Amino acid sequence: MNWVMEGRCWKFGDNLSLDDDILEFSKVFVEGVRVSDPEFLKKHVFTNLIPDFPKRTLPGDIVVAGTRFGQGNPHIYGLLGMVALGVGLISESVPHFTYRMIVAAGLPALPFCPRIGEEMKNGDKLRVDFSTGKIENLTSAFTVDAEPLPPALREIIELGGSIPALKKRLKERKAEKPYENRISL
Amino acid sequence: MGMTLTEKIMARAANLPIVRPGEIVYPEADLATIHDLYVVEADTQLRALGVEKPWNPDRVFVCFDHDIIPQSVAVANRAKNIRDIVQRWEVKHFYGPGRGQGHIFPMEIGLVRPGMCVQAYDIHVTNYGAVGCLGISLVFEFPAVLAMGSHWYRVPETIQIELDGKFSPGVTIRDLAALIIRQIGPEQADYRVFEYTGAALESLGIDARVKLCNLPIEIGAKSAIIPADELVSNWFKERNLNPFDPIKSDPDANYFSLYQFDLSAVIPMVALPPLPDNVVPIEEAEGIPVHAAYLGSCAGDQYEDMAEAAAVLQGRKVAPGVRMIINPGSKEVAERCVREGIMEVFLEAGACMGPPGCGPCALGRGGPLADGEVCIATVTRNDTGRMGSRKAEIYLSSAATVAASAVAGKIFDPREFLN
Repeated sequence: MNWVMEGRCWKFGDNLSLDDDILEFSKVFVEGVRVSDPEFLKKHVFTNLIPDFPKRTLPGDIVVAGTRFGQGNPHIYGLLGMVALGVGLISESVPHFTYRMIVAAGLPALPFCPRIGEEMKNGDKLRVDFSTGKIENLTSAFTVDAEPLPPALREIIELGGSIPALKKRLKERKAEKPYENRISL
Repeated sequence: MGMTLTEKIMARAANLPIVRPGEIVYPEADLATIHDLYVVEADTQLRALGVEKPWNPDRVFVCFDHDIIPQSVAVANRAKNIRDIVQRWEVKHFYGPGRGQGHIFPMEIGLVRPGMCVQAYDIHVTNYGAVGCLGISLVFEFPAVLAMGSHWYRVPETIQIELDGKFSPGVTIRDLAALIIRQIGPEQADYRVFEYTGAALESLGIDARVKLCNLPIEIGAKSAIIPADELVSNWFKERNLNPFDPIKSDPDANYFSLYQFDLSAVIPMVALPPLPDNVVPIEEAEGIPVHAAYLGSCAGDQYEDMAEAAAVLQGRKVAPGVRMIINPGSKEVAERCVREGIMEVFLEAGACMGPPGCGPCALGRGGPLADGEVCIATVTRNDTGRMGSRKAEIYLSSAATVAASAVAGKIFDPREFLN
């Protein structure tokens, strides 16, 4: 995958909820059953805030959010939809279950960029290297180095998220070190 | 620089000499726990990965505590399916309905021990911190633990919370636990572990410690833990359980922050709907009429909760028009309530006894709330719809306040009955 993304800034505020703002939870259900197909989910991403968001975004565009992006019940569907749209995420902060889900979904992200919103306007042209944390606003010539996700988690994102990563671990199981420090039951 | 208790447990379980906050590690679960609501889904996910049974069936714990007594044929069929799955998985630690709440009784039988790293589907696994065990939850990523025995964690920072003093009469541990989550708040709590220390712990038994470890998860803490001390050691001895090697944080361990609480300054607290950290002094909620009073859930179903409620209910009756439901946390709790006459007090007062387990805290199972009803309860959360109707309201409080409110028919300060 390409860790460097170049595209437009889609700026959002603080406290975006997983179940309403990012992807309305009721839209995950078709005839009472949850659908986790990213191609289906991507049609509903952010549509409660910007109705034609999925149609207008292009791969490489960057979602720039405020603090506590992805608050609420830990449902992964909106993040899977973002991956299918090919967008990246920069946020000022995320709750810890959302941090886990970013990795599980395989979403390129810089989740902890304090006050980044002050330097970004809707439609600005951005270049972001998610492996190093370098954020460039090409429109305003602003540059900052954010903390990238740790290499061990970037590896999971590189593989496509938690399920492909688990498949790989299962295949390599024999290679893992035996565990000798168990507490006896 | 030394390590905190949490860092030590994670390092040992990840087979590493040392870990530091922020590092990504793969600790192996000493025990992986899952309850009846998730077994079928977990098995479906595992089979899609070609996994027929858990990585180590001797380290897997399954219990029925949510749908204790099936209320429909569909749930009964699922229960039957779960039994088949548990057999195929060759689960060593399987407990059927009636044994109790999976976040309570594994401590009573010594299955959960100090220094362990327990990984769970359900978030309230943090209860095990009461005996110095690190309980961490993964929710939808839990199949990774069943498949491999471990999954990634970012080593969390630890917040130290020092407790001093003694409660005044009518004030109990739930009031303190609620005050703590209000004071610290979600921003500070997120992904951090609460470690409790201080002289007050000498007077706080396992039941009280469970409350301190249960509530922080509601504001986003990763876990909560209390180093196992002499009190835990005696608790193990009383139950004829194998002794353990005590471990605690190093004196030079690094904490993210320190909070101090004086128990003597605490007053009865109530959490207003719909957030568990909407915590206010009881006088701000007093007088609100209630239709239901519920004593139970892994945040309020142990012996001390039962005794606390019984002290209020002794010689009194639940008000007409109020239904009071009580689910003890385990067979052991229920037996002790019978032995000590507490069960008689409850029945005389007009309360309904439910089986050991989660009770209505689990989305209203075994006693849902109707539209427009108000409930006061010891449950874990008060979100809209948590105990049934989305048009009902839930107030959270101590067992004493639940009992006092049941008698008064409105939210009521228990000190008026106890003083």
